[in-house]
Amino acid sequence: MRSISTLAAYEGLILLAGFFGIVFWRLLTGRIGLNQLLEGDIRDPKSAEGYSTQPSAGRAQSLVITAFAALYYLLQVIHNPKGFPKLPNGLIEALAGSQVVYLGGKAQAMLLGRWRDMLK
Amino acid sequence: MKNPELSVSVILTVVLSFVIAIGVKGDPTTKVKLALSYGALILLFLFGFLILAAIASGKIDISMLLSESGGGASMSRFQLLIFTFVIALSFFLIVISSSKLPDVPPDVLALLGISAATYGVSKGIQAGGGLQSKSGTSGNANLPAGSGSPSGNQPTPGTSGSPNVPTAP
Repeated sequence: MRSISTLAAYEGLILLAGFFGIVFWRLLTGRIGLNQLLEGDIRDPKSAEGYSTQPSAGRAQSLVITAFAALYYLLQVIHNPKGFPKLPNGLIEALAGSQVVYLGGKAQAMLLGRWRDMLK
Repeated sequence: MKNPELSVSVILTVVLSFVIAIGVKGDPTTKVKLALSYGALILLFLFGFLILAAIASGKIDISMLLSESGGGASMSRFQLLIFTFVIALSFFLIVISSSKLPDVPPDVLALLGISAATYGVSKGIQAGGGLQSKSGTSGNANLPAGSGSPSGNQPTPGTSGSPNVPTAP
């Protein structure tokens, strides 16, 4: 039965590596667009579309926290691959807080102006 | 036949399972078990490989994987992609090293849940803000600008890499 588990491991490796490889290659070559990843939409009555884009601090901090959490988790697994590692509560709270900040900024940029227009 | 690759995969699997069942030594029960196990593995691999090949050849278009309705890349989609990859890779490494399926702790669910919830709330905010696609199409907000085919998910015959437009939930 060992050969079956070995075969399954190789199959998993090939498929996972293939999916990761294709996505990362397309990200690197720009075929999956990352344009405006750090720019958020904001209401702009002067624009023809009603919105314009601006650099977003909320997106930038979200990217940093996400990259940190992902790297931390991956390093923990690589150091001890016997089970899923325990994440510190602080990191989960930081991640959740970062998302709240990002979503709060987005809601403020997109919804407040609209509500303000309605109340006029 | 719409997907000959699928039929070829199934036929190949049946043939290989039959060869394994005849080739291995042991009692009939063991032979059947081995043939079914190898058959399932080969079939899963071939199906996965078909999807992989379709993505690589452009038959399945993933160019809008990270795009959001208003144009540009979506931070919440990007985050969900990163965490999905990290958890998948971790799961694979753990299964390889311990040779058993691990228990999934709440931390993993929290990581995926936070990013999935962010994505959902973000879509809600966009819908609430009335954000339209920058290409000006209102019915299919994920259609890339200038793609010229607002009619849905069907690729246009004869155009390589024509968008199989993903439908955002």
